[in-house]
Amino acid sequence: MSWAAWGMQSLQVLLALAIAPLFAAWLQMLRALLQNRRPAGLGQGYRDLRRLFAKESLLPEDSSWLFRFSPYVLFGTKVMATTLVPILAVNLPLARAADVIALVGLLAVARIFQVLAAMDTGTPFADLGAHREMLVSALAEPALLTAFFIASLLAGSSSLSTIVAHTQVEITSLHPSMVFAAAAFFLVLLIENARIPVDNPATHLELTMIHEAMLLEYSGRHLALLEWGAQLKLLLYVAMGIALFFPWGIADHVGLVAVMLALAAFFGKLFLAAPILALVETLLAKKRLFRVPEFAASAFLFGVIGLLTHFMLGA
Amino acid sequence: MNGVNLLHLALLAAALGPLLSLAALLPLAPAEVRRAALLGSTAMGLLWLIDGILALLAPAASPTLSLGTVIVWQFRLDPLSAFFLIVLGVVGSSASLHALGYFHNASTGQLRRVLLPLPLFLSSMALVLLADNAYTFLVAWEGMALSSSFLILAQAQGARERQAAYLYLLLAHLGALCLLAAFALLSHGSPLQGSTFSTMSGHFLSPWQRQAILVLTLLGFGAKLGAAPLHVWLPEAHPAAPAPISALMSAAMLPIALYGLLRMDWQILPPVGTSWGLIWLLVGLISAGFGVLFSALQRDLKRMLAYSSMENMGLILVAFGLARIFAAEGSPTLAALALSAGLFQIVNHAFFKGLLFLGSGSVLHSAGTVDMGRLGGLIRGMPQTTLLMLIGSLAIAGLPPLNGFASEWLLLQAFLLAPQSASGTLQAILPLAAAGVIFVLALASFAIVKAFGLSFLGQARTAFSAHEASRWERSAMGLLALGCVLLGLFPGTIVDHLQGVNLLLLHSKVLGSQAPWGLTPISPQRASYLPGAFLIGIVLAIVLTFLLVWWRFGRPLRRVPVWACGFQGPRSARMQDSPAGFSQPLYRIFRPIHQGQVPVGKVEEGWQLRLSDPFWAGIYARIQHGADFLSRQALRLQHGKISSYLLYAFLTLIVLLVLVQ
Repeated sequence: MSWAAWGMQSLQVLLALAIAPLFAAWLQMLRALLQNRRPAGLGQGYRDLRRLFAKESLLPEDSSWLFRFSPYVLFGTKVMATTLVPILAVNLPLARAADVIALVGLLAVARIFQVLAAMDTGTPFADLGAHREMLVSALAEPALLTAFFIASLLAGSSSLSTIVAHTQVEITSLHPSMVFAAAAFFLVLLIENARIPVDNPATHLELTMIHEAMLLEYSGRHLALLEWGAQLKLLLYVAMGIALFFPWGIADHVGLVAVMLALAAFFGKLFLAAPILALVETLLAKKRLFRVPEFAASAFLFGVIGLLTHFMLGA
Repeated sequence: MNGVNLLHLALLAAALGPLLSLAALLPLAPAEVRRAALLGSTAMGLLWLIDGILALLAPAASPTLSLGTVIVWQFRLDPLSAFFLIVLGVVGSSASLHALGYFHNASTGQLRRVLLPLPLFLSSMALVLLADNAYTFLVAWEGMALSSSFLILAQAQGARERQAAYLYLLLAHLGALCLLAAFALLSHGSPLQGSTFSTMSGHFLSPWQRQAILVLTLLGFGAKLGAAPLHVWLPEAHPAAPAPISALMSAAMLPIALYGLLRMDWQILPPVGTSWGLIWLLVGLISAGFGVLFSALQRDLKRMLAYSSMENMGLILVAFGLARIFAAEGSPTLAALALSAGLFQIVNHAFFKGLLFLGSGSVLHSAGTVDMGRLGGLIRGMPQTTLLMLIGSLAIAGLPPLNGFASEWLLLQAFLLAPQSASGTLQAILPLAAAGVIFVLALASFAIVKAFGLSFLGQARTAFSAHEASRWERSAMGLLALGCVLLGLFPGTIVDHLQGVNLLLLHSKVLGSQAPWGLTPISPQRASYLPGAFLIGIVLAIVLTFLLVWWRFGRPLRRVPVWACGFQGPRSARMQDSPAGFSQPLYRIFRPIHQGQVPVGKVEEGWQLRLSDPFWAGIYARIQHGADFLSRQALRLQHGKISSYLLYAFLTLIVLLVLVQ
């Protein structure tokens, strides 16, 4: 593996880290505009993080090392995950290390540490968040995997790099099973990133909290890492969606022109993806918690129907 | 060492068992007896472990041995036996090692009740694996059932444990009857004559005989491995037994039933069509789904682990079913892939389930209970045990780069590769089965996170002072945890060494060889997984993050009271989630299946759940009622009048005379 490829790999991670707060702010800005509020500006994500990093971190009295180190584990696993998704180029050095199944496993590591850290505090709110998160993800994770399965079956490979390369070549054909996969994936994206019909991180209401409830005891640099990690995860999911369903522009080799093109394409797609998300979040209301499993189950069903479609129609 | 010696060594180790049992009867001080017998069992386990590994490495040797003249005992050591011998060795040695600490304070009587049957249990399991004719197999099989039922009773305090042991023995014997019948069919009516398994496989069987054997073996071995609906003994027996015994039963004995299935249905019987693969797949899927749902709803740590064993056995059965389907559809490479996934899962199960059961024993000793609703905060009292249990939990939850993930990955890959050879019905069933398996895996991590989180994290829900497990216990668990990590990091080595088993069962060229540190079942373009690179990446990312954050923003941390959204009132540990509270959403969703109830009334222990097993209500309760009815009818015959008893005798005599004529 050449130095250029490793350089590309690092560039991809740094890029993702750098623009994750920007993307979150862009999304916030669009939501504010759609809701007739005055947006805070694109720098708000960075300002929030800087403020949190500068603050003192507090630890709850009886929390153990799990509570203290989970933010690093969460952030680290998400950084690792960004190396596995072809954001700018396919066949990067680490692409062989894991396929989509391992990627889902990696995200599960992050989630389980988050849940355990929440349970470590022993507070009722954190426990609520923990068991809700486990339930919702127990339904969302299969949906995500089935969506990946459909793409893998079409490309004849579960390696994301190969899937991307395959879809890029097969530019003209539209597969009905991929439509179901996309639907499932989009719902999972909303669920896993605590977006609105499922969760609303902007409120602190016991009735609605899932994700935020688990972070209540965190402060300072730990909270900053967790927030940044959440932004990174959102970006990662959008990047996965792009790689699966709109992979055009992702470089197939490491060359200056190709990389520039890939960068431009990636920014363009991010720019366009945010309005869709903002629109969904503005038009939909937060669901009752009891309805959330149904929502997650429908994502799983989309995935299963997609799988069946693929096997029955061969497309 | 050549093959014959390996077989002799394994048998010698098995012969140690009865000797150790005798040693338990010697009038020595309890501590010495304990040490001698349990160290002896550990040595037995280690011998089998080493023996199995050497036999698996030996090229295609399967030595045989026969003893006796009138009744012939026949033994053989082939790759399939060797593989399961390794599993037995791992669990046997670690459980014995753990037992050294676990039974530290046991009374002499209690100790004897364990030490007498334990070595016999180990030996009979090994003999089941080494047996090469029906007679040897069945005797060892019965020995295994009997000795283990005594072990379940070892700690019996009340009717509950005795009931568990009775139920276990009942189902074990029904199963054994089925096996006897199957062997009778296989050997044309004389199962106890000394024809070896290989000569049996040459026998001609009519189609209905084959089908009957398949049904009988599925019932017989299914009863042992806890396949639904024959699983009812499992959640009763495992919590009743002492922890090292539960570990042995769950991680070594259940897989031995899988060994039996592979041996009888796969090696002795000629290959069967797709339909039996599908049956295995469905039975496995139902068991796995049922097991995982019930394990997620439990409040008792050991019951939860017992149901989780049922789930694991189900998943392995799914893998084997898939392998059979692929083999019948003419793609041996895929069959080898699915088979390897199942076998790999068996080894993994031995490591993580053994670890978790042993850990639950240490928890019981330390906190006095394994009820998650009473535990909590053990991470402070027993930090090392907690760390080991965390590794076991992450492994069983199937998280990379630990071992559970590697076998799940293989299984999912097998599903992904399916379409190339699938026919009409399969095309509908396989994707649904794949989705089912994925869902089971997701729920499994729910169950284990609940169990670990409630028991080890947060605040203690009742007053107890937890203390760290003894050195013996920790070293046994440590070795198993190390195994979880190493198996996860070098999955290629494992899959490579399963080739011998694949070759034996599939009779053809199998998977290409793997790099030791990774899995590339077909080609790197299709799929690959390198756990080492994965681990290095994660660790590097975490360490770099930590160092950078510390360097740039590091300030000493301050301990403060929990914030809890500003709640100022007196905080009690009861405000945490209870086990039922944690799984309440699941409880709501799956109510039609478990038909659970929430008793209303005084809530001393928190929100309680009462679950009922639909299989129990649907099948066993009816049988029970039927038997009750029949026995009540029979009771009418008995009313104490001598004259009518004489009449019965007279009538019986006449009937017999007529029959004889």
